[in-house]
Amino acid sequence: MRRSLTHYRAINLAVVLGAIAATATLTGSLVVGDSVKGSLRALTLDRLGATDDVLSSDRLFREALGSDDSFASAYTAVVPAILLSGSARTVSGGRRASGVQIVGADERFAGQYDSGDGLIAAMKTRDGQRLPSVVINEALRQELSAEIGDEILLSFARRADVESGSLFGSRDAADARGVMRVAISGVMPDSGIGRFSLRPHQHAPMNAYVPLADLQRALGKPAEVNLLLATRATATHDATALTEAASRALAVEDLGLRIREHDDVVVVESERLVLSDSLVEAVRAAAEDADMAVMPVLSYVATRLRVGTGDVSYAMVAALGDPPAEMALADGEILLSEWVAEDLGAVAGDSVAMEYFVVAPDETLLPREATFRVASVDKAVGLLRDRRLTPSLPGLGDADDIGDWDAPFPVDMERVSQRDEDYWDLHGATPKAFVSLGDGQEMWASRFGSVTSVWLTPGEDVATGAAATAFRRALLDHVRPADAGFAAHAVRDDGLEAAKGATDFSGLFIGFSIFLIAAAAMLTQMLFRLSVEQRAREVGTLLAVGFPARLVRLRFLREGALLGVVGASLGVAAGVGYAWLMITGLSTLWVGAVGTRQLSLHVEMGSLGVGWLVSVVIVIGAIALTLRRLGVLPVRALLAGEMHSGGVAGRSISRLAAPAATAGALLTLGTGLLTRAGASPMLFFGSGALALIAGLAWFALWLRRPVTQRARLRTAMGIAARGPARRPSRSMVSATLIACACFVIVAVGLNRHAPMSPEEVSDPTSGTGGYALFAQTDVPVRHDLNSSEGRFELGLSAAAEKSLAASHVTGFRVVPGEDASCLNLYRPAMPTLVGATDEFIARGAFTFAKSAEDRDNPWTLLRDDLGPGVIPMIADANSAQWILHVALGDDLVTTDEHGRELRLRLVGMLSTSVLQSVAVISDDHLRAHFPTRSGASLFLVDAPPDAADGLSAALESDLAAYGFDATPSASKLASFRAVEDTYLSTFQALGGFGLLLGTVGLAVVLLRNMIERRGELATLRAFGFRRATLVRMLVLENALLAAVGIGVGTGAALVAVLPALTAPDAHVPWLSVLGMLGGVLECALLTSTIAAAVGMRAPLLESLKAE
Amino acid sequence: MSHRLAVRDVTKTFAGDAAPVEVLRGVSLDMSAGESLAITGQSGSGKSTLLHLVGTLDTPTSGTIEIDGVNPFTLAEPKLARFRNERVGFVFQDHHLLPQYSVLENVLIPTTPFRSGGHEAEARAAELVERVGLSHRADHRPAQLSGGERQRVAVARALINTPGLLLCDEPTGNLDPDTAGSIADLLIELHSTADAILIVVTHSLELAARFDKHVRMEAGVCVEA
Repeated sequence: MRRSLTHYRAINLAVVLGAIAATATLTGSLVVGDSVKGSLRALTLDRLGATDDVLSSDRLFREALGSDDSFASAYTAVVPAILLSGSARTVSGGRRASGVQIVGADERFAGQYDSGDGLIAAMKTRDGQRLPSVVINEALRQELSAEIGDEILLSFARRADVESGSLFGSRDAADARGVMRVAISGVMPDSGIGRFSLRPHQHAPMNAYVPLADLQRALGKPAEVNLLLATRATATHDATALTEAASRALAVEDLGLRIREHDDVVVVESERLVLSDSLVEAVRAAAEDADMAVMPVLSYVATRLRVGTGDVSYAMVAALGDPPAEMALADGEILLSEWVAEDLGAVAGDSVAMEYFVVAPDETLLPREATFRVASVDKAVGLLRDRRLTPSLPGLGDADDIGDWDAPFPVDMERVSQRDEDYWDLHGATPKAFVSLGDGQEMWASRFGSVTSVWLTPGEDVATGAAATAFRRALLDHVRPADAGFAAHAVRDDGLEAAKGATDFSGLFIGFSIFLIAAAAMLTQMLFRLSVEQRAREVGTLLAVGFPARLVRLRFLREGALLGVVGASLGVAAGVGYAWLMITGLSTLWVGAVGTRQLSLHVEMGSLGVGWLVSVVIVIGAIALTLRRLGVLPVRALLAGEMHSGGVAGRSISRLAAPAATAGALLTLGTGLLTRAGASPMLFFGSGALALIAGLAWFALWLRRPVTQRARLRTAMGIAARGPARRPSRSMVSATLIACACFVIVAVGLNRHAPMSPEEVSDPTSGTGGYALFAQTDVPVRHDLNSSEGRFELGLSAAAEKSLAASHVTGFRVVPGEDASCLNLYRPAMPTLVGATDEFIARGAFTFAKSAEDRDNPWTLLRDDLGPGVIPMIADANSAQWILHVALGDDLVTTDEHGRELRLRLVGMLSTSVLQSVAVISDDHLRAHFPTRSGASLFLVDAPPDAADGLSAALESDLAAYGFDATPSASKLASFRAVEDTYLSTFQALGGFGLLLGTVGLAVVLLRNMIERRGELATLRAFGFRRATLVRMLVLENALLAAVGIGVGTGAALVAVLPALTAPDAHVPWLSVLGMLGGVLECALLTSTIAAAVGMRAPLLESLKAE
Repeated sequence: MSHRLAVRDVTKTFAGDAAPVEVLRGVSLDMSAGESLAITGQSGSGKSTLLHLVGTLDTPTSGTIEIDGVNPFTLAEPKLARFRNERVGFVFQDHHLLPQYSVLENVLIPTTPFRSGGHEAEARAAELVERVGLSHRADHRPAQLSGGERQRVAVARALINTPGLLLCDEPTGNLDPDTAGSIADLLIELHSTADAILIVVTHSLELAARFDKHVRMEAGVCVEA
């Protein structure tokens, strides 16, 4: 065998090279996948340092919570920190950065990272520095173009105690945000602690690290934090340990509750004014344990009470649940204090009209009115004169006079009488009227809750103090951390899970390389076949002297297997090199696809083993197929050097394959078109592969058609046109190689996106939804940008006012989550949720790729009631399919703000849109499940094209403190498409590699044919064919094969992408695709011309000589 | 046209490994239309080399060759190709038929380089196929023919352009005696009606005896047999 291998070393080397190409492509694809996963995993570990789990809260809590012994058994370190989302501006240059993470950190936080000491050292105040220090990371430094010593302004959302979405919440824009002026004292690299982030994303976050104490001072909350970072002890395996420990460590003050002990009663109030339903339940349960009677109270302000001509303005009204018997009211009844009854001139049985405000979803105040029947008028005794019924109201409770009120709702002081002021002086905010709790909650309940205090009365003979103590103890047993807004996250586990990637790069690369692998295997098979054909006489001789065909086959199989194994082994190494090239490409040339330069090569031995094994099987299988024919060919033909059977078997296979594959391709194409499964990979590859097989099978039939069906010869080129039929199998391989390459190149090219025209940008059915601008803020904007009042409150400039007059801004409440777009390589567990308002839903913008139900406006699906705990969701089709991996009807499971399971069911998928990063639910559902989310953080701006730039600049400037960042919608869309296009470039490179194999195949076939046909060519020369004519004939033969390959590959690609091409948002760059095809043909012609010219330089005459 | 062939003191030297090899050492021949010549000799004596020079497939080192009064080696390559196409017909020991074409198509191949084909050529090809006794196999491919049948096709192909010079290099070398005899019969029969010059290189003295003249090549020179 050694002698055979060395004697035929040239062709054997070619076989080995073919096997190397097949193995390198397969193994390289696997290693690319490993590398992307490995890199994401490394980035995850880098950004988290020693942190395994975090406990976070939407509110600040005691810093000391983390020091509680409850954590000691499960965690070796629990570190407090503050993490805020905000923006940064340089004081001097006016450079802005939004999406900044503001981190309140100290030595404890730094201790979580190897590079932590550097942060602490950098935080030290520099000589002459008068402002607090801030250390920024390199990403933020670049965005701000700032240097050490520069002063910057950090803006962040400030959470008021009382929600702005409630009547007593502040609607002052300035109260919604905090600003901190700091001096840059150091810059950290974007790695280790400088990469700290809890959200998985390959982009380096923009971080600003402020000394914890300074940030606490700026927030007015000394010794409070909103984050605990925990390092697990060895025995701790998940984040439930953190929840359990937090549950044990919680104190009443961590719940945001105030428990006031009075002589006769214990009153439970919330710092947030309203107790959440879950806390009320816990209070009830604890009260039962402590044997205390419960009276829930809901206090509110009636802006007016009217009876006939009498009226009283701004009266507190209390709704009582389970009050003392003398105050029990039926629904529809009102009890008036003597004071107000006198003012109204009301007596029992009169009808009282009550006017009050409710807060609309957009946080504007809406006037409402209800009518009650006066049940009784009582003297102000007992509860009727109990000030404690009204909790401390911000802006009201501490005012000496009504005239001093700083009410968050409009107060018409002209309606305030001296008698009202007198009441205020005597009784303050003591309620003037009472209604049943049912009526009160029906009128004033909000998403934040429906009780402002709970009155607890100890049992007889039980001291209030003792009862209060028992209640406090019991309360902590009944409260879950989630009730107080705490949430534990296994950030390391989740991060590592997410690092497996939104996209399976191994699968993706193998998918697009499969044609390449097949092409390489075919090339290997053809080369091996040529090697066997070269040795036809040897085979004939062995058979003639009595070798059984099986032994001859085995002899060649052993040689082929050895070549395959050697090729596969070398191919594994080449595959690592190929993967390195791809990873280098993804980190540099194609960085747009992955968004990070920190990808590195990660080689898993398992993948190498799989790549090697599969390649060996493919190569040996291909070789075995060739050898199968050895026992079939007549010995006489073999002895004469002939190894061609006339292709009867091939014709039979083609006869079956051609119609079957055509039918299959049409079926899958029809399915794709009917189901509008534009981007289904199964249909894409299925219909593409079938169309490819069909086209090639028809070509095979044409090559092997009976001679009588062929046209008569007329010209030399006519002879050449029939050249491919000389060796049909060889011609098929050449055409197939080119077809595979063209399939990849064209399919990828057709999926590229052409730029949008201005008309498309303003088309509501396009991917922009017709909106000119897409904007986001770090601090929610709680005022309506479409109203003059809202713009006034926000302090917008005249320029912005003018631009907004001709525009319309649609704001969305946002629940922060992970980026669900193709810009994120990690697999997001939960995307950012945005709430679609009724106005947005009614607009019916964008185009749906699919929806659960065929409706004129599928956005209305968001309003459907899907049962408890399930809400409808709409997402971008690409995000759903490739990033979130959910199909129509699938659920994403998360928890709402109360820690309850929430299932988001996909009911609609948008064609490529600017909403690719987020998932959309209805604003009603968002408010119901995430009640504390106030204000809009995402905006779509409908503006005239010529005004968009000006408006964008004006809003970014005027709303800089909110971190307002506007992008033209077309650019936003283009950024998503750029990622897709960059991926496509990567795959086109694979197609280019396939083309290389194809042209190598063409050249090999041409040269081999020339060697075999030297006699024929010499004969033609003898009959007067010029050398140039023969070269042209040879090139034409190959051009024909290339043209067939291009035609079949292009046709198959068209079939594969037709469902996507018929999608409404398809923008196909036909010209560039045609250009590429021209390039392929040119490449094939050039290779063939060179090969033919080189081949024709060899002397032909010798082959004519008789001796 | 009355065809003439004049070969004067033709020599041919090939570069050898050690020293140049002089294969032909001054060969002269004169032939007219209707004449036939058999050339015999040992392997390496220069028979095929002489045939290739006469057929303009190779150029002499010295001496002249004129066909119908034209020295073809003075022609530029395109004109030489056309000259050969129109004036010379070849039959080789290996038929060198194109396997992907039918018998009829193979016969037509010499009509294609200068587009001398067409219905007239097809009719002539069919006639030639009939004359070589293969009209029932006109649509068969070479792989479906016997060795003798393939050589008959090669003979027909050589005559398609009615050449003035028909050159045959061991036309029966690969054939059994019976088949070889029938091919010789065919050549002689076709030559007798073609008014052409026929030169046949052969090892077979029996075949050589059937032609008008017979020369033997010895060490690069022609000797009357």
